[in-house]
Amino acid sequence: MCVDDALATAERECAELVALFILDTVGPRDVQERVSHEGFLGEAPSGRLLRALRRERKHQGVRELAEIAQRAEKRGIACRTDLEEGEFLTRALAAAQTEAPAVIFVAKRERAALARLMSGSRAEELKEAAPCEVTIHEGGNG
Amino acid sequence: MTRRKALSIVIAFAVCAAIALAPTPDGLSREGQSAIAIFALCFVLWVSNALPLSVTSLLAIVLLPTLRVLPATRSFELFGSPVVFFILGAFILAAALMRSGLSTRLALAFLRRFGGSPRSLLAGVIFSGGFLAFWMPQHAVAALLFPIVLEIAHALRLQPVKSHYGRALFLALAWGAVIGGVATFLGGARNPLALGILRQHYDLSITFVEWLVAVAPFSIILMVCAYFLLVRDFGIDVKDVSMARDALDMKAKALGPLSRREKGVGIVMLITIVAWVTTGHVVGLASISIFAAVALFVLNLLEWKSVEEYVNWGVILMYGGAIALAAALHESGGARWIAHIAADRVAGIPPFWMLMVFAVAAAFLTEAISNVAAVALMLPICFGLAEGTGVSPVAVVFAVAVPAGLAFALPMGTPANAIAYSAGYFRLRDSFLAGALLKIIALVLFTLVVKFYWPVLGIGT
Repeated sequence: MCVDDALATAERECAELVALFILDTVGPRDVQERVSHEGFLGEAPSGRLLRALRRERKHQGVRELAEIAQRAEKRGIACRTDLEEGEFLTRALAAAQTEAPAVIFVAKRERAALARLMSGSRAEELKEAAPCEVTIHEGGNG
Repeated sequence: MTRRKALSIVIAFAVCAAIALAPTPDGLSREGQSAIAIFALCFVLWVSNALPLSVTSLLAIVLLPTLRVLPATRSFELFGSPVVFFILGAFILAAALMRSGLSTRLALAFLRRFGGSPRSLLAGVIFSGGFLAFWMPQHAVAALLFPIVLEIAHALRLQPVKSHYGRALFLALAWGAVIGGVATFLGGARNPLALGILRQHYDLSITFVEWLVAVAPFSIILMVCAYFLLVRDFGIDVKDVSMARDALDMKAKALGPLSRREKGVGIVMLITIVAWVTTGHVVGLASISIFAAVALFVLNLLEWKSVEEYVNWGVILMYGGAIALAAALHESGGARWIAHIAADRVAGIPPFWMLMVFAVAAAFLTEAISNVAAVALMLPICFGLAEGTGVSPVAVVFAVAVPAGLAFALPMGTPANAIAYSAGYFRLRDSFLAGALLKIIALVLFTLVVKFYWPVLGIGT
């Protein structure tokens, strides 16, 4: 698990943990576009769907960050949490520049092999572009 | 535009050019060859989604006269197919249902009735989605139910991915809408599209009632199967759903009493359905559909602005283009030539098994591409293959259009699956494994329907 690994590393290295949840704008917009282009629903229902999706992602992000902060506190690890909205790679790289971490742990959501082949993996892109070590965990939610 | 999309467009045009410029094979006309070239172009673009579906259709419409497959007047004339106007009217009716709030009220009423226990609530999600998708587009149903199911998940404090009930609930949301969408002409526009292609090819038709009687029992039984599959596969790890029921009650209370607009839309919808059932074969489904749309404006139940907000006009381009492409393949002899190539392989296959081959092919193709595209691409070829084998074209329509609507396994199969998946409550492998199993169940059930039920209705050979 990504969070377990990050907490263990922070504890071992006596380092601060910065937990960043990126509310990716691309995924929900893709769903909205499909509903609009394939389902032929107009702006009102597809827009409502997009807003519901974003609200849900934010809800999940807040909950996950609170859980991480709680676990870190229990183990005596200094921890800051941040929730940002935007394109995943841009936000992750910006955070990497600001925070200058020793290592980045990324949880990426599983995708079909075909989908990965067709559009690549954004976590892999981050690994290539980041100024530090990046550890990728499959099957995460964010 | 991404690199993948650009590459897909280049490949599509390269394939089209290669086919169009190749020496014309024996038995194929020049027009037929060009029609196949355009067909191949649309195939690549629809599969890759490099362009919006409707833009690909639009491209087909202009390429048909450009490559001299059809005269320009004939090509554009096909846009005026009654089926396109039926779909247009149906979308306007769906817009009125959503705009008035009646669809949300119906969904909530359904769910509250079923909300006594975790199992019945799960059944309620499947059946409310299925029932609504009988009367409005399945994508609209999934979008409509999504916030309600989220509310249930929050009220029950379900953890994304971790909660078994959460996984089942969101799969139920997608599957209910998908299964209900095959039962009538209203749930999925691919059904009237298939009807339009049938009319273009053979001047045959299927009435609203005939479709409903042929497919609705299958759809209802499949919903029951989906429910048992979800219970068996994911289990119920929630004991009490009273919090969800309270949330649904609050949501229903917030809607207030039934408004004049809701009552009016409900009455227009009911009268329209009765008219489709009783006089559809005389007056025409499209005329009734458009009359109903006009009635909504006359009775001040809908404003044009709302129609613009609720309907994406690409719908006309998509279905007009798909019908034109199918007609071009038929009229140019292209479909017959493709069928002729495969004829040796299918020669001697009994009609029942031929229908099953079409059904299995459509059921799997639809997991990868839009179900509308699957029908538009498969039906002209299947008509050609079935000619002279004793299989009736009406049976071919059912065998392609119904399984083409049954995408369960992958989010890319249909927007309803993508909507449910995007909430993050189930993993891809959950939907893939359970969806593949449901697909097998659906095909077995479909086989039984084709073998034993349809012959009673006179559908088959």
